Parts: sequence; structure tokens; C-alpha cells
Amino acid sequence: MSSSTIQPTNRVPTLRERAEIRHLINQDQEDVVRLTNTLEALEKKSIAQKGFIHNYEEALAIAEAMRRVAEKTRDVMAESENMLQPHDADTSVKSEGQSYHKHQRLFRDAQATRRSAVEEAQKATRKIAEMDASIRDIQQEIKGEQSVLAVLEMSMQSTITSIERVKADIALKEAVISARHFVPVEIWRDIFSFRVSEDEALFYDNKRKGIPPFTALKLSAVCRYWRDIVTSSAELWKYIAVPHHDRITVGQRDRITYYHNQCTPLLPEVYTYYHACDGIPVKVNLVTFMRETFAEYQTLDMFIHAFSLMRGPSLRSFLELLSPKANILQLSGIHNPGYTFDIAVDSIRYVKHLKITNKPVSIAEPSHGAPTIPLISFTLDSITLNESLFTGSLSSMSHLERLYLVNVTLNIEGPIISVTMPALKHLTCDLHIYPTISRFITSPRLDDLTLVIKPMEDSTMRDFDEWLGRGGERHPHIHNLTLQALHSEEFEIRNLDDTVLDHFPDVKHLRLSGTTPSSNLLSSPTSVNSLAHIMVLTIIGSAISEEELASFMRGFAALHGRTPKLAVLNCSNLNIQAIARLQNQHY
Amino acid sequence: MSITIVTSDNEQFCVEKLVAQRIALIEDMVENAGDRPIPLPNVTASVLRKILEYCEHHKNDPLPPYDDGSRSRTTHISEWDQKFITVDQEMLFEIILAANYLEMKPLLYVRLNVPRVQCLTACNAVAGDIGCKTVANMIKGKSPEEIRKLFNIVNNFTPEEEAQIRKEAEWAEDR
Repeated sequence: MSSSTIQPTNRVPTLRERAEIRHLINQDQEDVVRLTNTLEALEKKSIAQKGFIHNYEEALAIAEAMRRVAEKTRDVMAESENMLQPHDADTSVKSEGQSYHKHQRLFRDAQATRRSAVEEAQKATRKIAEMDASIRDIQQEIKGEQSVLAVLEMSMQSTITSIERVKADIALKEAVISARHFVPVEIWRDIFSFRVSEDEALFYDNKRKGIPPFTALKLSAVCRYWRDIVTSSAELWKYIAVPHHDRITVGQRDRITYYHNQCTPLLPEVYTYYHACDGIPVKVNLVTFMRETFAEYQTLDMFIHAFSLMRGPSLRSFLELLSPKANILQLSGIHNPGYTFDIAVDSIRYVKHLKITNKPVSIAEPSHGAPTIPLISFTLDSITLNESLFTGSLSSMSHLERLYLVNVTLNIEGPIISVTMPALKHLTCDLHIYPTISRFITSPRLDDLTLVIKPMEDSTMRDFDEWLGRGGERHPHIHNLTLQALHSEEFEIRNLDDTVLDHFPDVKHLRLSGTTPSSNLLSSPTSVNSLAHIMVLTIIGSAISEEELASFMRGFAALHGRTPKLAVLNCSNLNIQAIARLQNQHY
Repeated sequence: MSITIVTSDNEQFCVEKLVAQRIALIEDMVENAGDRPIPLPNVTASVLRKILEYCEHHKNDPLPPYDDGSRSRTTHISEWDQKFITVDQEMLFEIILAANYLEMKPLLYVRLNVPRVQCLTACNAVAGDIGCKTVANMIKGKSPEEIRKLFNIVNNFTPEEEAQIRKEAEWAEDR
């Protein structure tokens, strides 16, 4: 395989090709070293050559100056001779006396000066000729040296070009055998999955405004290999962005259909977003299109706003028309205490999990009177609740297994009327509302409780105790209890053990999530009493130290003659070795 | 206690067992190898040096957080890891390949479909994860043409495919 046969390609080279190309790269690298040495030698010669030329040029300058001096001398002497020429003949009158002698003296002096001027002029003329010869000689030398320098510089340039060409060849060959070609498809999928997930999360966090990321679409436009990977990875297409408009463009329809086809057989996670397409014809009716396109959703996530920013149908009527078959229906709105969002039971009859954020909701029975709301889980987040939720919506949810009420504010004015929820197995709620919730709901199958803890006043803890009845009302049916801190920073809650744990005497599995619950409970000597029946203790995301946890385990063993099974996840101060020590130690 | 690892270019590394155990493949091989050196025929010395640098730094780290593959997955990389992975592109891909070969993939437990707690105890260092995140970060916000330039990728679409891609590019403008 010669260097000239190597072309840029996305094809993965065979092992033999890789070895041969590596061999060629080694040869090229040797060439680069050889050429670099040649270049260095040429550079040295070139520097020396420039020195020669410099010297000759300096000599030439001197010769030219000396020629100018000789020329000047010749001219001055010629002029001197000319000035004395009228006095060449002796025109004196021989006489006795001083005048004759004075004339003769000057006459002889003038003749000597004139002869001297002639001689000097002749000498200068010879010097000029001499300098002319020198100048011609030096000029020739310079020409010769310059020509040598030009050859050297041409050689240098050619060597530089050769080095660049060989280096480019090396880069090309390295690109052909790059480790990138050997990255397995599943790793590219991971890389693409990271990119898609983060881009979607960023868009989601940015309130779903503007143009969605369409990451899979962009990645599939790079090359055939990437396109094959992306188009064969359904999970990269599962997030499908739908404009929050009652009508959409043909391009948007085609794009959504394409995404949906790529996403199959996975169920899509469809969400609506705000983006103005001013001036572009919106011809496709969204609800009709969605009914025809999506038989089922993993998630349908929509804003609780009228479509087309108040111009289109309300979400309630949209949902009635759509009646989506969705595992999860997620609706979020702008917090507005004076407004309750109504959903007709019929519109969520195929929804398993309903999540509402930031908007009070009431689920109205249809006019013909459907007996129950067929939800399995129901989440209300960041909402003010009143008693109508319990007497209205929750009373109809006879299949509901999981209820989440987090970041809620209670606004209870009427009497407490208990609602029976026969299927409810799991409840997550803020710690401070649990006493009230537990009075509104009768749930014989509830055995899994998560209490979300936030920084709160001591008075709230007193209320908790009073509501539940100190030493009186206990909740023996709760076997799985999770105390989860919402904030990562530690905060103090006084008497968490006897105020809360005392009410759940039969907890078998206790999960403590965050630093606050573990630091407040496990460091308290009385909590060992309260946790008599726990068989499994799970610590999640806590800053608890090995010593603190070991101390708790020792105290537990001393009192109960056994220790609970310990599971630890994501605890910053507990490494693998510490966990192994804690799990295997005999206390 | 230390073990000896031999790379594909026959360089020997004497490695603290605690450090080597961050590498799942080696952890599995240590039991069978006894006192014999452990050969790594798919990893060169320069790459193994980087991998061991990572393992040494993270040897006392807690277990990596659970990643459920949801939308909230992040390409965040810690400061030390960011410095560690600041290498030329070729070395970056070599690290990714080596981490894959050495079974240092953090997403193992997601794919294995076994209970989360059990899997976390088997989960090792995350050099490969950082490599993937770094490549994912490199392509963030880049157009297909910019990505081609970045990785020396040849645009090898046929004219028909190009036409389809142009249409899809219009979709990405959301018009």
C-alpha cells in the first residue's frame, strides 16, 4: 500500500491495513526527521552565505567611497593645475634687488605645486581605475554568492514543502487509522445519548421557549456511519417537541412524523413548546394530527395554557378531543392562586400517571357520571390545596396506588371528611402536611411513606406531634418509611426521632435521603429505641461519616442484639472500603 | 499489596491492588492470575498510564451516582477530571476504547437490568464515562460541517441522501 493510494475515508481499516499504514507512518516520520536535519544544515549554510554577502557588500561600500575620494582628489588637483597654468613661463625681469628674488622664489614654488598637482591628479586617476576594478570584482563576487544563497533558499523552501507534505500525509494516515474508527457503536450511542439528554434538559430548563434542540436530526447529518447509528437508536428520537399551537406548519408535521417513526417501537415523550412561526402558513390541525399520529405516549407534557397563546382552544377542550393514551400526563402552569384548572374525567381515562405542577386542579366527573378516575399515580407539586381535592378528585380515584403531594400549601377551611383510598400503597408528602393528609385519607393498604423534610420552625414540629397525638395515634401499617431532605445543605430538626419515628413503630425498611435526616436521627441516642423493628437501613446522598454510622450500629446491636442490613448509596464520606467494613463488621 | 500489568507494547506496571481494583476487568483477572503478571494486549503503555492516573486519583471515591438515563443526564465533569481528560483527540479516543475494554463503563448497571443496589456494588471507575461526556461536550452546539472538521470525518452522503438531509435541516429551523 503506497502513500498515494490512501484516501480520506470513514471506512474502518482492517487490522492488516492498520499495521501497514502504521508502518508507512513510521517511514514518514523518519523522512520528517531526515528532512528536518537537511533543513537545519541548509539554514546553517544560508546564514554563512548571508555573512559572505554582507562582507562583500561592506567592502563594496568602502571601495565606492574610496573611488569617490580619488575622484574628488583628481578634480581638485586638475583645478589647481589649471589655476597655476597662466604662470607657467618665467616673465620676470632680471634685476638686482629684492623684487626679482621674491618672484623667483614664488615662481619655483608655483612650478613645484603645479607638478605636484599633476602627479596627484595622475595618482588619483590610477586610484580610480584601481577602485573600479575592485568594485567590479566585488560586484561579481556578490552576484556569485547571491546566486548560491538563492539556491540554498530554494532548497530550504523545497525541504519545508516536503516536510509539510509528509506531515499532512502522516495526519491523513493517522486519521484513517484513528482510534475514533474503532469506537464501538454502543459508545457512540452513549455519546449521542449524553448530547440529546443534555440538550433536551437545557431546553426544558429554559421554559421550552424558542427552537427545540433537534439534536438527533443534526447528528444524523454528519456522515453515513453516524446516520446509521442515530437512525437505529430509537431512544435518541424519543423526545418529540410539538408547538403549543392549535395549528402547525406542514414542515413541523413532517418533522414530528419523522421523529415518531424513528422513535418506534419506543413510546414517545411528547412535550409542547413556545415558538412563534410568524408569516408561515399553519395548515395542520394539531389535535387531529396528534390523534392520527400518536396511538400512545410514554409522556405527554403540556403547558396549562390555551393553545396558540389564548387564541386557540383551552387545554381542557384540547384534552377532551385528544383523550391521550399516556403512561404519564404532565401539566404545568404559571402559579395563579385564583384559578383552578379543570380536567374532565373522560379526557384522562387512558392516563396512568398524572402530574400537575404550579396550578390547582379539579378533576370533574363527566355529565353521564363515570364511576372512578383510573389513575395509578397522582402528583401535585407547588400547589395550594383545599379540602375539595379530597372530597372531590381523590374520592374518585379508587385505583390510585401512589400519591405525591410535594411543595404544597394547605388551605383547609371546611370540616375534615375522610376519603377512603382502597388501592393506595405509597404516599409522598411534605412532612408538615402529613398529619392533615393522614386524617383526610383512609388507606388500609398504605405501607410505604415518604416524608419530605424542609427547614421548618420548631412550632411546626410541635404541631406535628399534636396533630398525630403524642404517644396516641400511631401508624403501624407503615413498614417502609423514607425521610427525604429536599435541600442538600444540612439543617437541624429537633426531636426528629421521637416526634416522627415514634409514630411509625413497625417500620421495617428505613431510608434516609440527604444529610439532615441521617445526621439528626443516627446521632441521637434515643433513635435506637424508636427503630426497634427496622431490618434494612438505607442511607442515600448523606455526608455521614463512617464513625457516626458505626457508632449507631454498635448502639443498635447493644440494645437489640442484632443490626439492620445496611445499604449505602452516593454518600460522599463513605468509600467502597468503608461500606464493606460497615457491612461486614460484627458489632 | 501490588500486582503487575503488562501492556500491548510490553511495558510492565507495578500497581497497588486498591488502584487496580477500580478496573473491573483486572479485578476479575486478579483472582485467577495469582502472582503472574496480568496481560492487557489491547492497551498501550501511554494509555494505561493515563487510566492508572485516573484510578489512583479516584481510588477512595464513593460509588458513582446512579444514572437512570433520563432527560436530566448531564455532561458535567469535575475540575480534576476535566484536567485529566484535556488530551489530544487521539488519546481521548484511546482512553474511551481502553475504558471500554477494561469494563470501566459506568452505565453497565443500566444495561444489565439488575436491581440498582446490587449493580452499584459492581460498578467501577468512570473514565470511559468522562471520555464520552468529553466527546459529547466537543460536539455541543456544532453544525454537522463543524463536527466533520473536528473529527476529520468525510461527508460521504450520496446526492439523494444530501437532498433528504437538506430537507431535515429545514425542519431543524422549525418552519
